[in-house]
Amino acid sequence: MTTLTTILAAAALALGLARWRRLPAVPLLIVTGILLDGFGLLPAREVLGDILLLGLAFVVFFVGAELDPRRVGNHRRAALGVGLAQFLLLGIVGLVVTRLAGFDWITALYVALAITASSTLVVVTLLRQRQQFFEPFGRLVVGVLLVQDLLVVLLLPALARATDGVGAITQGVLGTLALVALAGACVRWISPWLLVRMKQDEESTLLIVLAILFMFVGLAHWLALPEVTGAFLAGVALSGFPVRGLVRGQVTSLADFFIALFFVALGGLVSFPGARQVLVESILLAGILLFAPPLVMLIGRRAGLTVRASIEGAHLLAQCGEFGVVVALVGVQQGHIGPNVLAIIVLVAVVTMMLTPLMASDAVTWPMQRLLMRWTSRRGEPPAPAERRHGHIVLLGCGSHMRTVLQKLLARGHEVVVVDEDPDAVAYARRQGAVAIRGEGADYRMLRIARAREARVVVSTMRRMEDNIRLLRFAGGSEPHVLVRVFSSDDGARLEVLGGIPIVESDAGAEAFLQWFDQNMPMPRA
Amino acid sequence: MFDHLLIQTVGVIIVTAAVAVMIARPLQIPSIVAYLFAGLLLGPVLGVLAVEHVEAHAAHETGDIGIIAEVGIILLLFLVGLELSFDKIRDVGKVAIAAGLGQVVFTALGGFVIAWLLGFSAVESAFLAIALTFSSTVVVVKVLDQKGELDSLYGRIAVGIFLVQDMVVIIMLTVLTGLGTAEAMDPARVAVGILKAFAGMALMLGLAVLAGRYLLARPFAWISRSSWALIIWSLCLCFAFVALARTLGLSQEIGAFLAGLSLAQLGCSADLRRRVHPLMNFFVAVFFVTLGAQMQIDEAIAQWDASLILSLFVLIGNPFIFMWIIARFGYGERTSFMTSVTVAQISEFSFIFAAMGMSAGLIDASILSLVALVGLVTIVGSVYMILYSQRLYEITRRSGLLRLFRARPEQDADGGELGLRDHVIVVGMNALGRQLVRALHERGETVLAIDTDPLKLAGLPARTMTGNIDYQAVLHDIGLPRARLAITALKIEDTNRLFVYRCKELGVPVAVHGFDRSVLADLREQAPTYLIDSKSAADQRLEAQLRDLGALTQ
Repeated sequence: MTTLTTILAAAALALGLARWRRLPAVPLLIVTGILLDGFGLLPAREVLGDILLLGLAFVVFFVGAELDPRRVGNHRRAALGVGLAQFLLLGIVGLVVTRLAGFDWITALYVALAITASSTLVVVTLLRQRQQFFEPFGRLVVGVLLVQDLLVVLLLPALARATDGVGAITQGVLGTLALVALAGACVRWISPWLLVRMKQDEESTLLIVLAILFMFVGLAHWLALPEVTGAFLAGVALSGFPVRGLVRGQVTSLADFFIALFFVALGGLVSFPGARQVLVESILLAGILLFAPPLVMLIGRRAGLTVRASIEGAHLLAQCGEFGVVVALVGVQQGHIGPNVLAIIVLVAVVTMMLTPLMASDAVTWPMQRLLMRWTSRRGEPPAPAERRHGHIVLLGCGSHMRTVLQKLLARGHEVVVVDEDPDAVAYARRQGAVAIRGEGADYRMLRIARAREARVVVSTMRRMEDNIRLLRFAGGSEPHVLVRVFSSDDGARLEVLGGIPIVESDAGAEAFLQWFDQNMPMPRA
Repeated sequence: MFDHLLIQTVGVIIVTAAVAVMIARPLQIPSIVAYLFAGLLLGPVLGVLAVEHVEAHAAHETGDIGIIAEVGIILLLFLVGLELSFDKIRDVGKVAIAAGLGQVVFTALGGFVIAWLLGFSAVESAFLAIALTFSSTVVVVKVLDQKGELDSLYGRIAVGIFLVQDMVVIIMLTVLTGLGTAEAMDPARVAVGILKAFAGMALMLGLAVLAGRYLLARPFAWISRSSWALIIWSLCLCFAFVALARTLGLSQEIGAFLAGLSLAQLGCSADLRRRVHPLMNFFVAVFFVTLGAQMQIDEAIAQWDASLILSLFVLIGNPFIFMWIIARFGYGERTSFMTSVTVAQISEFSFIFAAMGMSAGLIDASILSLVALVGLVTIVGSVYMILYSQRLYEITRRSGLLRLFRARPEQDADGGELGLRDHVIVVGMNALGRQLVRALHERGETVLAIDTDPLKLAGLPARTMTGNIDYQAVLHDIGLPRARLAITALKIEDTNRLFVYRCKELGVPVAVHGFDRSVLADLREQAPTYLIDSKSAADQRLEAQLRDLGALTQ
């Protein structure tokens, strides 16, 4: 009980710090665990092992239950491409570095697999915080995370039995496939029947959910697969709609508790690194932070993302996440790798996760973008030269409704310049007879090409507030009229100060709703 | 480093409990009873789960299943504390002390006489009598929680009584430890022990009041914007209080209860309660299954007549003693009856107490087994009695039996839920949500606003509630089935979809915010009553604005 209290206190400290400094919580939890162990405040490793195993099952289960291919939208192919490419490239880096550092093949394979998976917990939280979940690049990133997690979970059973010969590996793969099939049956039939049709109360819902978790873990154990494979697939078994929603409230509380315990306990198991370890760590870190992002960026560009989206996506994915730690723990469990390798992976995860919010911030993204732009233009890819137009209309963003606006404007003989990051929107605008530029509306270069300052009206439907502020800094004032679509009137007021004309979504939505309400929901007579 | 025993044991317990609950539900068998039988199956019948009578107040750092069970009790009492407040407890303080102490004395005397008449030796009779005296806080609180009546007047009296009994347990333990040692009992040491317990209790109570009134409000208001941090901070506070209680020689239940009580005054307490609930359900399920597994009742079957008589004494005699004491405090007939029914069982501590007696060589295994059988019978019996206490009250009242106690016939005013009806629920206090709340309020609607962030609820002209609608309990608290219209203004796709699904299940009209084009198709498929497409609405305004600027005129 003292252990539990100590770990909870450490977790409370870490989460408080995370809230205060707006940092990712996971690496802070691990660091407090390391500190606790450093001060000798943690008990024997056996107790930590117990907490770790239970926590591990819950962490992986939670990530599995949050998997939803729908969130990827129509970026599935791109996500698969980027995911696979990053996986392979980082895998090769990990393999080569670990081998060169003198580790054996099996260790190298574990390290390689561990550093390929980014952190779903960190990235999804960041995307939500910045309200970028529904942006095209946000969806792509979520898709890549999904691909990575699936790859790790599917490859882990084979790796865990790698030393037992081809027969055992085949057995591992077949066992995994059997469990995948069972999870599929659960998503389709069993979970909805148990949890939706039978109309359970909260207590029974929780018990059934946990029973499914432990049964999958037990089955995995029986099939000689890593327990985490079972836990992950148990999560998948509950990821359908509406099952996932119905169980989320119950699962979240348990996950909050066990995930916090897990990461602190994990920190408690990490020993301080030696010289060789530091060397390997530094190279791996460099691999993840410096080598991987440009490649992901390149693939992102190929997959149709704008420069900025590919930079942000690449930086968001540039970390070794919780699944890396999971791989390492399975390696330790199987006796394939020692605590020193676990320490390498955990420390790489801590550093890269801590750096993620900084790497994916505007402070890094814009300079990078400028750099890349200069580089690409030097390589002979200048964007179309700006014509000397004046009094035209600029549309920054050309989503579905703006397309009718575009048609109407063109029908009235206006000259319209469209700037959009979506290639489909650009193609559409061109077909309609508008001048269309593919790029970011917040990029001064694009605004100059579109001659936004000389336009009569600029209409922005860009989602991010910072982008609209940049736009108004560039073109705000009485001429041209800058119409900006924003969500709240607070944001609207900020833009008004800068000379914009805000069109407030919440006002418009509320007005439309109230009109409907007054017509359809009259007050009942008392 | 990795030993799979714990995860295996927890897995077996949870899977068996889930199966037992699934079988029990259609048969209207309460979950506690299902857990106990799951435990009996795993322990005495199949021998899969071997649980020793772990002395709960001195649990070892073994990381075994006993600790998980203990966490269950701690969280349960933490929840009870969260449900109540200092004022509510103070109201029932006097009656709780009198009834708690009075019942201990009368039940112990009655139990001793009955056991002695049944032919047990004086020492055995003394052990049996004390074992029969304690009621199980965990059982009662769990059932009251299931009934949603922890906050009722009788619920509060019952909780007060159990806390008093907890203090008695501590004193008993101090005495028993003295008895258990080889040397003769040192009365001075026992007296110091008892004094220490009272001083500790006063200290902790003072600390809880201080924390609740002055220390916790600001930090918890700050942290409550992060739900993960909030739950971990609260649990940390809970376990810190538990650790302090143990250091001061008090029970961990008292520590957990006081921690809950200190947080109960804060704005986030309702939200916290719902978040801790699932966690408690998990740990408490483990507790009850292990309790069932400890019940080695085979030897007691031979003494079925003694078990039956002692069980009847607990099931009927105990409530009678209580009813009489509580009625003397001027409480109404119904409250006295409902409170009395809660004490008709013996507690998990009774087993520990008997096991300690056995290890001290004062009684033999047959007494322990007898206590286990009485425990099983009375816990199962009392669960039903508490669940159906209203019906039981009606029957007893009609029989005229209650007149013997001369309680006030009128019912006590029991603080019930206000119960909104025909209200409009608005979920998510972003710009849209707040605007809708204001506009609907101006139209004379009764509006209930919900958000996970208490700061966003500030200053709204509506009833407000902090909570996450992912939790089923929240839907109950907001009176969703009785709402005239439910609106979610949230910009969270999954939560919106689930909310629409739940409203449609209940037949409540629902309006949902389709905040992004990419989510519209899925929402339309669910056919909500109204889809707030704020982006399209804004685009129409945009078009109008363009017209005003002359861009869309010929």
